[in-house]
Amino acid sequence: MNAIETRELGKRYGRTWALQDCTLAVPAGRVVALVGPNGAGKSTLLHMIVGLSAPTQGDIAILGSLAPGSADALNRVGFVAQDTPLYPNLSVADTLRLVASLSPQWDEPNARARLADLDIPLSRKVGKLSGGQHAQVALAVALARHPELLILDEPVARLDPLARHDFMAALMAAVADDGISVLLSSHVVAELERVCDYLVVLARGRVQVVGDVDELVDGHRILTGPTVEADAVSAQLDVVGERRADRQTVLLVRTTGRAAVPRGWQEEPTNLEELVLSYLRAPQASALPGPSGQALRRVSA
Amino acid sequence: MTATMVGPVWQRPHLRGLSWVTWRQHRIGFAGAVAVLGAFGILMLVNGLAMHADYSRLGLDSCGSLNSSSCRTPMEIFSGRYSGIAQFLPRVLLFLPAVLGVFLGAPLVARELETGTYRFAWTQGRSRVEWVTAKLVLLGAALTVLAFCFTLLFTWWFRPWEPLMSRMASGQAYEIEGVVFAARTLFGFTLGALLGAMIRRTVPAMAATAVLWVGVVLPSVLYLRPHIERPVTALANSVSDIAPSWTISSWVQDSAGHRLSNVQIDTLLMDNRGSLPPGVDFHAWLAQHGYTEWVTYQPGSRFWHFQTIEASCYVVLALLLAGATIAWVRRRAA
Repeated sequence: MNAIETRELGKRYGRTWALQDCTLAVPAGRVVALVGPNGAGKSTLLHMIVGLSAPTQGDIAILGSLAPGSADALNRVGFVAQDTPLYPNLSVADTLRLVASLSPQWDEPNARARLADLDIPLSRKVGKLSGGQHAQVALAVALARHPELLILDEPVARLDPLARHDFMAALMAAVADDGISVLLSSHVVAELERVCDYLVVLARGRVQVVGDVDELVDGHRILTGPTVEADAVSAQLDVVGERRADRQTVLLVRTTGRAAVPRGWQEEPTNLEELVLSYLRAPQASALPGPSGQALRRVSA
Repeated sequence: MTATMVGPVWQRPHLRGLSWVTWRQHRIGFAGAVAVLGAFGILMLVNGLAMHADYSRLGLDSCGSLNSSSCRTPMEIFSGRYSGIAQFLPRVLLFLPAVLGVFLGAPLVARELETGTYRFAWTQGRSRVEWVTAKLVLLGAALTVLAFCFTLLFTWWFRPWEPLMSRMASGQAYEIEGVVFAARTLFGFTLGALLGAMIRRTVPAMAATAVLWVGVVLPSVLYLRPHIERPVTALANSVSDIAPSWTISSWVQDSAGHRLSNVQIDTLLMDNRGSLPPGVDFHAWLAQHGYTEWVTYQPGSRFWHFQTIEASCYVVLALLLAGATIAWVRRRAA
C-alpha cells in the first residue's frame, strides 16, 4: 500500500502555479523527507494531502484509497503544521481536551505520559511555553491520536539545535514504537539524514528527485580530480553537480552500474545532504523513478 | 450505626465534542456579550424600578384615560422625568445586534485563518464543515436567546410608555421589542461569520460587518417598514389611537380635494396670521375654512404583524448567510 499517491497534481494561486505536475507514490511505513527551498511548494503539497486545500488539478489518494479531508482520512492522518499552530490562550490540559473532543481515537494516557516525560506542566498556557515545548505539545497531541500517517510541515525550522534534537528523538521513538508512516518537510537537510529513508525533492513547484535514500546515495558518487581534466571527464559521465576550484574539481555523478574511475581521479561515496544540495543547485537535473521501476533517468530542460 | 448520606449530587453539565470546543473557545466572547447587554440591563432595571414606582405614585395607573384632564399634571411630571431616556435609549440599543455580530461573528472564522490555527483545528478528526456548523448553530442560538431575554427586560422597562409612544415608529421601542431584536442579532452574527471567512482578517471583517449591518438594517427601518402593509389613510382628527401608531405622512387638502404644498400652507398661515382669533389654533381655522387635514399611518395593532414579517426576513437572511459561510469554509477557506 502506498501512504500517499498523487497523479499530475497541481495547485494554482491566481496566476502562479505553487505546484505543478506532481506525480508521486510514497510507500507506507517509510519516513519520507520532503525537501526543497522556501517557496518550492512543500506546504502547498502537504495542505492538499491533509485536505486543507483542494487541488486545482490532478488526484490524491491517502493510505490506499482515501480522499484527503474525508472523515476516514482525517481520523487516520495526523498533521503538525508549520510553526505548530496551537491556541496560545489555552492551557496544555485544555489543548489536550480540545483534541480529545475532536478526535474519535484519542489516547489520553499516551499524551499525558509524553508530556510528563518532557516536564511540560499541564496547567501552563500554550502561549507561555518555550518554542521547543510548544512543538513538543503539538507532536504529543498528534501522536496521541495514533495516526497511520503523520505529516509534519517544517516542524523544527524555528527550534534551537537542542530542541531540534529532542523533537526528532521524540518523533523517531514514536515511529519505532508505532510503525507509522511519516512525511516530513524541511529546508534544512542536515537533520534529515539520520531519520529519513525516502526522499522527495521539490523545486520550483515540480518534483525533482524521488526515491529510497539508500538507493539514491548508492547511485551517486563523488569524483575529485584536476580541474584541467574536468570538461573531458564530465562529457563522459552523468554529472549532476560540480564544484570547480583553480586546481581541483568535485563532481557529483550518477553511476548506473560500476563506471570506471578516470585515471588521476578519486571516487568517494556521497551523502544525502550533498546529493540534495547538488540537485537543488541544478534545477534542470532530476532523478525520478522511470517506467521500469527504480531506474534513474535524466531529463534536461 | 454508621451511614453515609448519599443524596443526589448536582453535576456540572458535561459538554462533549464540538459543544465543548465551542464553549471553551468562545466563552470569553460570550461573557463579553452578556456583560454589554447586562450593563444596559442593569441600567434599565434600576431606572425601570424607579419609573414604575413613580408611575403608580403619581396615580397614572388609576386616573383613567391618560389624555384626560385628571391625568394631565401627573403625566407632565412623569414625562419630564422619564421621556428623555425612553426616547433616547432605543436609538442606542438598536445597534447592539451589530455590536454582537462584530465581536462574536466576524472573528469566528477570520481569527483561525489569520493566526493559522485553522491548520490545527481542521485536521484533528472532525471536518471543518462540522466544526463551523457546530459553532454557527450553538453560538448563534445562544446569542439569539440572550438577545430575546434582553427584549423581555426592555419590554418590562418600557411598559408605562406603551400607550403613550409609538410602538411602530423607526428608531423607537419597536426595534428592541417583539422578535426583531433577536432576529437582527442572529443576522449580525452570521453576517460577521461569512465576512470573516471571506476577508480572512479579523479587524477588516469586523469593520465590514458593522458597515454592512447598518447598511441593511437602517434602510429597512427607514424606507421598507412603512411599506410592509399599505398605511391607513384617515382624517387627522378622526384617529383616536394616534399615539401608539406610526404616522407615515400628513397633508392638507382644500375643499376641492387638491393637496396643498408646504409653500401654500405657509402662505396661508402667514396671510391669515393676523385674522386668527385668539384661542383658535391654525388647525381649527383650517377646518372652519373648508380645509381638511389627512394622515396616513400604521396603526399600533399591526405591531406583531410587522414584527413577524421583518423578523422572518432577517432569519431567512441569517440562514442564507450561515449556509454561505459553511459552503465557503468547505470549498474556499483554506
